[in-house]
Amino acid sequence: MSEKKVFVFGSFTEHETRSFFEQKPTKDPQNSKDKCVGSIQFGSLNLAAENSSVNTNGELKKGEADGTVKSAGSQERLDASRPASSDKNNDSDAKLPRKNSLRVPEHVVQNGIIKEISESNKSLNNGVAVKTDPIGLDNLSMSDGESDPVYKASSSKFQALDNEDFSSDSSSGSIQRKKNLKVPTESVPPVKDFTPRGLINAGNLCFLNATLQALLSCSPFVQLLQKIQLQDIPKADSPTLAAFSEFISELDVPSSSSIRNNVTVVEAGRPFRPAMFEGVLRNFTPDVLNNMSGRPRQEDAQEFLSFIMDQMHDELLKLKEQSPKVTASKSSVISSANDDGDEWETVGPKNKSAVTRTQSFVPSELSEIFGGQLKSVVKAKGTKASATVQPYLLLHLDIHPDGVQGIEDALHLFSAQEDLEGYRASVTGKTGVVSASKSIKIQKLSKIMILHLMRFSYGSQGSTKLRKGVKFPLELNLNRSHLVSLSNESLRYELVATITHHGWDPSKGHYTTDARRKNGQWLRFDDASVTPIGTKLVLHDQAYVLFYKQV
Amino acid sequence: MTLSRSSADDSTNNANRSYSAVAGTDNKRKRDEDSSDYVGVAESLEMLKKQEIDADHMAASAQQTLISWRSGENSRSLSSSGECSSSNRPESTRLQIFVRMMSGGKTIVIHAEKYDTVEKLHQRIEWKTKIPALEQRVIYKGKQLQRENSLTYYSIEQDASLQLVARMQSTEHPVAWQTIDDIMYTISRMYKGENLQSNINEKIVTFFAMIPVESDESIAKYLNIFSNSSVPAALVMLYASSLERNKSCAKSSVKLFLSNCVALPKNQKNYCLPIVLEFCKLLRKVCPDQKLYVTCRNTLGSMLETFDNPHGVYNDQYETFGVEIFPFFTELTGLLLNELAQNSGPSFCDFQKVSSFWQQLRKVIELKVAFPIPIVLPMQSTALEAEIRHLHRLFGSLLTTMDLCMCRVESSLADKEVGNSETMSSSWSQYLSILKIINSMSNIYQGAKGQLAVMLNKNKVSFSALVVKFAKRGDDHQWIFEYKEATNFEARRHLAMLLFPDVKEDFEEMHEMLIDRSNLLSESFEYIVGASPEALHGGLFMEFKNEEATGPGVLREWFYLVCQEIFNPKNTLFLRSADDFRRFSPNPASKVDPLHPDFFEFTGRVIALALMHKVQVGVLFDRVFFLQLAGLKISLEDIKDTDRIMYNSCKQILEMDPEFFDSNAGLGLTFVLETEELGKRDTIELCPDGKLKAVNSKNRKQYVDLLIERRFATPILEQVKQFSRGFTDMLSHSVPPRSFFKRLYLEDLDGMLRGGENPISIDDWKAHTEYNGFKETDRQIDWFWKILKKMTEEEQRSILFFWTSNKFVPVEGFRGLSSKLYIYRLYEANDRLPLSHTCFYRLCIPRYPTITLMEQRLRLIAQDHVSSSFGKW
Repeated sequence: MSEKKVFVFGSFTEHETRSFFEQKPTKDPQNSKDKCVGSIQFGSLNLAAENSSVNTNGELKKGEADGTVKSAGSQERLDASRPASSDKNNDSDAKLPRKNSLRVPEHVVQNGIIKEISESNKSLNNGVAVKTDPIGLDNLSMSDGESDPVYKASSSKFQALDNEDFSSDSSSGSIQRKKNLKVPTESVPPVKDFTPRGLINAGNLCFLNATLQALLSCSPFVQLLQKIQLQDIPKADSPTLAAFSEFISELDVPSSSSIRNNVTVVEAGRPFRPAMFEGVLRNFTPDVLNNMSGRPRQEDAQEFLSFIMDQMHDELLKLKEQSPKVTASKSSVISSANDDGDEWETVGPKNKSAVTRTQSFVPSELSEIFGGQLKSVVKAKGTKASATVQPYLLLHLDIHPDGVQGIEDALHLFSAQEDLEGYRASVTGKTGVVSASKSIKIQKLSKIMILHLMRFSYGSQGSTKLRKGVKFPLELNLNRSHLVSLSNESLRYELVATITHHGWDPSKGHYTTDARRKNGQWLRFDDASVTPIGTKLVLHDQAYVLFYKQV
Repeated sequence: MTLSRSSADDSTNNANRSYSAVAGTDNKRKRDEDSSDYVGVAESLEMLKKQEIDADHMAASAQQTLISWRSGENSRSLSSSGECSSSNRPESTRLQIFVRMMSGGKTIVIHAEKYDTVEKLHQRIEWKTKIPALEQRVIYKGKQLQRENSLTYYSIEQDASLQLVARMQSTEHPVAWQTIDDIMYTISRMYKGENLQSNINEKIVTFFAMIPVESDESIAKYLNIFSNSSVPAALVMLYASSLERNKSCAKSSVKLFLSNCVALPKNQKNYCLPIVLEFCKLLRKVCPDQKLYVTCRNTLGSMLETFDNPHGVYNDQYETFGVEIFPFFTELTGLLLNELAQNSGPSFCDFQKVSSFWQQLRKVIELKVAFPIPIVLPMQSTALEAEIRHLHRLFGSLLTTMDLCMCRVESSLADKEVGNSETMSSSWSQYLSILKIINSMSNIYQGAKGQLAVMLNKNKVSFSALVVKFAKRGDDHQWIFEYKEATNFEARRHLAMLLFPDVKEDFEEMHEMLIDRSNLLSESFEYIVGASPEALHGGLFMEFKNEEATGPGVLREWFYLVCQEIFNPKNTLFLRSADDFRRFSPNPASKVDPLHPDFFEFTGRVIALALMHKVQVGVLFDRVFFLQLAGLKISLEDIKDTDRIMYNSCKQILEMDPEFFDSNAGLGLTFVLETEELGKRDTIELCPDGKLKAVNSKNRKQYVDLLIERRFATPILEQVKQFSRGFTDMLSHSVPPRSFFKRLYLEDLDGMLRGGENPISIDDWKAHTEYNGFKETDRQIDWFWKILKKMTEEEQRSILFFWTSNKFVPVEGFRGLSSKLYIYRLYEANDRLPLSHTCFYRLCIPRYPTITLMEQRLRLIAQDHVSSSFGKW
């Protein structure tokens, strides 16, 4: 009985292969018609095989299993046949039939019951899995274009198959990961590339719109949002996370406009109102009654950015607290840090090394992206040096001195040594004030470095805005002198977004965002308006907040 | 100003951040609980550390002792011991931290305590840098620090580096926003149960002090801050909370707000009205039975009284405004109905609130309702439909209730006449005003005025009594004349007299006149016409030359005498009516004398002054003259008493059979009038080509109308105009010329000018006379009244005139005079003639021995020529 089964399947495979090789050299239109006829014949043969298997085994369960597999196979054939017929003159026409022929053995193998055949199936499966990915991507793009429910169903099945391959074998999973790494080199865009869409300003909301558009250009942050989107976020406990989750879902909806990757022409999606952030705004400014429409006043974009990052950090930690493992690791982190501090303090009097105090974030996904560490060292006359390590989310750069003409100058000023007035060596003692100096350097870099140029200040005339031009590069190479010590971290950063305040004084104005897309194109987001701009316009020297991504 | 504005910028957002901190409280508290386990471990480590420190410091102190001993300086020892004592502290709470500036590239050192608040940190920074605390933002570890939290809350430790940042913020009134933020923040904390000192009232005063005055638009924007921030809702919510402390605080804040609103100038107060209305709506939902709601509703009512800019404040929301104030009007009207039913009110204040709400509602209805007014019920869909239906029901209730009240008034008046000395109840004082509102409502609905007229006519006695008692000078009584049928003579007279200024009888203000009896008319003319109306408004001070007497009696005599001269036909100023010799109308022939038009102005002033001083001058006006003064048209029936012959002729012309009339060729009449004036005959055409136009049955009505007008009205047109001008001079300012006479019927004017029509009642006279030196039972008194009854009416009036300078008795009899009459005894020779003091209504007679002698003496003074002098004896 078993020999008969092997014989039947093997004979079909050989027959199909022979017919393919015979037809290939000719490449005539008439031959394509013959292919269609051939596919029909294959279908009828499968039906005959089904009947024979039922008759031989006499079990209903096996019959049902075979039926489902065959139905999936038949749909695949239909999908394969249509692109073949539509792309008669395409060069890839020769490749598609090969894939079709290869796919049939896969399903035949799946029908197998004997263990010997299953062993050989695994090796075949690995090879086939690698090759099926391009097919799925092509179909996905086609389904996007045609919006046919049949194609959508088939594309979802392809995804399901891919997932099955992932879960079935760990070795195949590793192969998939390597393939993902190669995707950029193949110039195939990832699945989650959002269409740029404007945000409607219903009244003094440009600070919100500008901040959101800038954050969307930080790919690690977007990945975090996609991860959050899959979770069920309680809106009452985590209003900020819920708002961002809804925001990403709104962006994920395909818009009617099609995408053309062209430097001069960009078709953006339909602008929408970020109404999901109403709760966040109410927490940000509880005194303002109408947060989304007819808002009576403007706000500082950097202040709002700090606020939502702070809120997200707290809400992410709150989600973590629901898991006992994370709690254990959290407490260990806190205790270890403090233990180190105590040890250094006790060693201090006996040695001449510096006393170091460390403050750090309780880590969250957000602080992993935007968070870094600064180390400040205070050197006082007659006493030992004192070092303090503390985290940062934004670097606030002073741009007021005349010597600051660009970002490099501001960073240099940031980490320059300065003298302290009124410093006391011992807080508990009655010793007098001594001369001291202090310097700050970066101990740990963040994946996304946010530079806040402090344009708003307070002078003898009251609140003022500094309209001075400050140059910033598209690629920023951090000077090693700004760092505490050498490390394996990359010092290269590339500009991904800027927020600009337009206006002459701090009591009024407008915010816009320049953001870079994955294909390197720069767009200006002015509330509901999305326009492409050149790098010269991006590098205007009036920016307020800069977003740099580590390369 | 710049500094203040900038300060508010920072404070506003810092207050905002306070709320966000509240949202994050749960997270932070949980983290604190997690870190509590570590605190125990830290304590044990700290103890070990302390032991080591103590050992180390003991060695150090020993060394310093040796050093000081070697140098022999005691001061070092003291310093050393101080250090030891401070070093022995278990743990220090002092912090030294670094704050990086927002500009200038400088870092400052701040010394603080661990448990200091961030607010205190801001103050230290301000002290060092002169940057106002409200202008600062401090960031540490990516967080912006909230003012009310402590440094420990943010885990700020030794040598921490903080960043100072400024901000941009756009708002037109930063200080106001900051003030409102503070209020909202305080309310929020109090509502959560925190025990803190409330500064809401101070903030409210600050908010009011900064209201702009430039333009309505800026006022509206400023006050919108209060509304947009939901302060009314927050305060009402605080008032409704269970904590008594919160309740009393909210109550005082709401009351303070209301009192500040009322104290504002008008243009600012207008824009506060929406906020007060919002308070009313909220309190009505939360606590409709409590005193605070009543206070708020009353404030809204008083503000509506002076609300004169609805279009500016509400613009296109005017209809909504009407809908929103209607529930309060309904509520107050319900209270009013209750008080009326129980005969316990309403007071003036209660009524004033209903009235102010109604005035605004009426404007809304007149402007917004699509249907023409009056409205026919049931109505189709329109604006304010439900309110208008409800209002109609209120009109019905008010009408029914007032009907009951008027019946009650009539019963009280009847009791009073019987002998009950009960005075008018004070609760009646607002009845007239309530009826006025009911009249205003009746303008809206068809048939409603008829219902009101029926009710008023049924209660005519009450209505008239209310008018006489409570209609005041300065109020608007025009609506009463729409129901003239429901008033009586006393009510109409009262309303007419309100048009005159009040006579004060202040000697400084009086217009003095010194008249020679022999030149009475000419001198009086010069005194009256030569004076300004203002001078005459103060009243008259009359004195005859070569006579000692002065006072109201002399004035009354002067009025009588000067009218006798004016209306003497010999002077050709006025003519008597043909049928009623007592009635006068201007003489058409008076135009011959060039000065006579001025005399008609003089006459108008004299008649007005006589009415003002309530003196009956005994002259009656002809009906035609009266109708012209009132600006009314003369009809055929009106000339019945003026010219009976002509009346009968015209009546025959109109009533003759048409065929017979035409067959006789219109009696040969044409449209002409034959007149005779000062001996000259003339034929006047009544219309163009009147001579050629024959009278027939079709145009005879027109002929009669034209004839009457040409015969009676046209000849005295100029004289009537002059009289009217003089009369109007004596009325209060801004009174229309014809309004006085329109308020009266001719019979009313008769009563005011001549008094009662009936002969003098001796019994009434006697009932109002008292005696001095005589007893009522003395025989001389008995003789006196017997003699008086035997006299003719003319002789009786002469005695009365001698006694009081009044020749005519008012319509209501002797009680209408200003005081009672008196008979005094003369203690002189028994055969003397009687004396009188007309100012005091005093007649003095000796104790006559016989009735014959008394009769002789009384008849002597009854002669006219004898009684017309003072002090010639």
